[in-house]
Amino acid sequence: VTTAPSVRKATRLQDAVRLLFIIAYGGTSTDEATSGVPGAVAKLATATRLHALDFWVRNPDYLAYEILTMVQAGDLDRAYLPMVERIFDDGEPDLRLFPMLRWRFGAYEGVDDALALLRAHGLIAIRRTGSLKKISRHSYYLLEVGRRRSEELLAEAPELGWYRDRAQLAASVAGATPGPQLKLRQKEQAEYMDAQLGTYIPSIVGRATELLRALQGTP
Amino acid sequence: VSKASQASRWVDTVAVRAGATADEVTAILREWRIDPSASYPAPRHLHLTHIRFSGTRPEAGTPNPGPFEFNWDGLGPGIWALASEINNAGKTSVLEIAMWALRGDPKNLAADVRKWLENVDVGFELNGTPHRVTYAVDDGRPSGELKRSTGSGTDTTVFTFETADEFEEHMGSFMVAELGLHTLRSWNSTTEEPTEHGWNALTGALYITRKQSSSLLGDLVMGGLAGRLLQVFLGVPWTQTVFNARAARDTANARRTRARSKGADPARRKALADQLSALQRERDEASTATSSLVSDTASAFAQMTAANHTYSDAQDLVRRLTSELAVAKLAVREFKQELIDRSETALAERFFQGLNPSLCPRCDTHIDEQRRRKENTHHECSVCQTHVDLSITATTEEDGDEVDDDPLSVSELQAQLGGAEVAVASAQIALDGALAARDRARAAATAARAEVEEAEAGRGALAKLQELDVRIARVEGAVEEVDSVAQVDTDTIASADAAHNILSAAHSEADERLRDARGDLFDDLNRLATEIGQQLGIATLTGVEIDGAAHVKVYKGGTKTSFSNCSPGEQLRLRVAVVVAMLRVGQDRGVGRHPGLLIIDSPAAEETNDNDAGVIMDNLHQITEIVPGLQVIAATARPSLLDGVVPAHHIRQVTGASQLW
Repeated sequence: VTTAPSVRKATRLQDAVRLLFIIAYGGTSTDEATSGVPGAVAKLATATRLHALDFWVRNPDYLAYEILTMVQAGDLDRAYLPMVERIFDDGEPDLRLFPMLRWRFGAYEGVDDALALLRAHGLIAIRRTGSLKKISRHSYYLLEVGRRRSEELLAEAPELGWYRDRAQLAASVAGATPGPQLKLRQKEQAEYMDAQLGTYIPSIVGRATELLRALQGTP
Repeated sequence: VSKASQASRWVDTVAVRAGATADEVTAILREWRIDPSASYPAPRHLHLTHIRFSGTRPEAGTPNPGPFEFNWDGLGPGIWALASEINNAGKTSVLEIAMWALRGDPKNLAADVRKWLENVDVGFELNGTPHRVTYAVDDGRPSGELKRSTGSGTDTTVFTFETADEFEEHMGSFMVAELGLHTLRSWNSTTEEPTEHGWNALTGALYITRKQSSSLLGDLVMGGLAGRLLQVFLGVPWTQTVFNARAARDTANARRTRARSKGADPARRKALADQLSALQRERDEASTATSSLVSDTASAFAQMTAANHTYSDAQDLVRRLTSELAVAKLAVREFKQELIDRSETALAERFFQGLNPSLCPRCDTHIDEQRRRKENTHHECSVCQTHVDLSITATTEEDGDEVDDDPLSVSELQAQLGGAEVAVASAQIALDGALAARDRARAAATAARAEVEEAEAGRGALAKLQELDVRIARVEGAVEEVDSVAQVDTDTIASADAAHNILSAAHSEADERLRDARGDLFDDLNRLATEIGQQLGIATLTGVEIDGAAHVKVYKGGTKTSFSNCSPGEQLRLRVAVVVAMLRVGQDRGVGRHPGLLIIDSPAAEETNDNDAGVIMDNLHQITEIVPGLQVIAATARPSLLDGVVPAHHIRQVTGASQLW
């Protein structure tokens, strides 16, 4: 029953749904008047932040480790520990893992195709700011149609609620930290940092479970 | 069963065989110094740390007259090589000088080189302690000392020597005691005298060269020495007892024959007899002190061998089951992932099928009603206007997605997952059992080893016994001399007959115990030696058979031939094969007593192609990785063979026609 070990890749449709939920539930509320984007109900800026949240959704071990170090430092409440325990108990680092490649600026995978699918169906809008000379910023807006459709999808397929919950968790762990600093925090793991450019970022599940056990041991 | 009673059982069994009383047997065995032999399986380690020498080549008749110096420092475990591009660059002399220092006997060192030498300084580590032999050489005659590092920066002198004989004698007793080996006696039918085979003979298993005689190991073709040497280095108990009992039996037989016809010089005989009995008393005391330590190790040895086997089998099983479990877990994980991906993709597919594109993602142009209608009526994509079958457009995956290639349906995947989960559960149960069995086997092996190693305590006392043996052998030599002109003496004849009878019985009993202790050791050895011999390029080799007594049979192309009938190149490779096999069997069974130093002169000299020759170096390199602490030093006139096999800093090399010293 063995198959040759191959790296798991999400289908474009999976990517589209995951990114839709990250923008829908990992962003902040806005409206047409504030944003100047017709039909906008939520906003997620920037591309770096989108990638960073996506990295945590796709690598439950890294998200778990981040939560644990924040609990350890007193930046998060110990009430988060059972949540981390669930991540491991449910085998998420295995079952929910979609490995990402390590590039110069961190974990990377092209999301343009998946985002195009969301845009073409009028679920999200993307706005670029900045001039040709300045580095531009991307902002991702969930549109009114996108919110309605997301809710319909969740009602029809409750198992996809995992993505909503995980996007919310990743966003609350990220807090107001700007995207570039988020990437730096992810890179603090030696396995991530030491991964050769162009290779898949390795798992840290061993260290994460150890840290969980250590924290559970301390009152 | 207590050790004392085991020792007494040995005497009782010999007494039954000989039809004598236990007291008679005890007396004869003491007189002839036949002890039940303990075995010390704790491996001893010897490796060279430096080879330095200097001297002067005379003006006349040598190519590079004047002073010379050779320093090779920083040696340690692993494979090392001396290399030159020409044959007469001094490689063999470097090896011979190192062996002179270790052995105390210059043996095959070229006489002219020996005369040119002025100073020799060789360092070696023995059981972890640094030692250093330094000596001046005056017209070929050595005088110097052996020092041992005490660890506190100061050295203690182990012994000093003024003559070549002293050097060899001191070095011999030092090494035999330190390496936990046995001095073996054998009956030499040419001189009609017992001969002691000490360190000098044992080094035959350390130094392999083309200049050896036609014996497998060592350079003495007598008394089954090759087979005995193997057993000494394999740590088989009773080896020494069998060997010494046989020599004693043959000596007693010769003495018995002589006693029938000779006269004696009573005064001289009495003086020697007094001297001998004084030494004998001293030895009896030493022997009593050790007899309680010398246990009947045969059963402990067999138990340890069996326990090591069991442990290594259990370990193999754990390894196999661990990898089976990992494979099964990987399969479970992959099936689960696949099922998630299938289900999520299907849900997303349905989701997007229910939606209509509203704008172009490239230019944000709105898709108007007309376009949407055309999609239905003309099969034209409302976004990019490509002609497509829409039911497929919505569901087709990108190139590179493997979902479409996967022939398994969801229900098939679920069935596979179920199977893999069962495999994980059963592999886990099997592994848990194997782990417990492994731990039990490890505990048993440790206990068995501890039991055998208890005999360690007797080592110092045994060294003293061996030293007394050497002194007794000398006085006995003188007695033999007197006896050779002795008168017919019926008492002597009667006691020689009795001694011969008991010694024969002791030999048979010890030999039987040796066979029990040896078990299938030699089967393993022969199988490995054959395998390695074939790898070393003795293409037609089909078998090597060493029976532990004396005989080495070689089968080439299925036909039996003798070792001495093989070509010098084949003999060298067979020696390497047997020594390497011996090291590996010793390592596998945890009993080896080879000190882990192997010096080989030109292992690949006769190969015509580099591939065959390279295999020899590869094999030597491999064995250094299998046997911890092993040091192999090889000399070769083909430096290209060392590439990628011997690390550059382990090679001492000269190019062109240059000399090493």
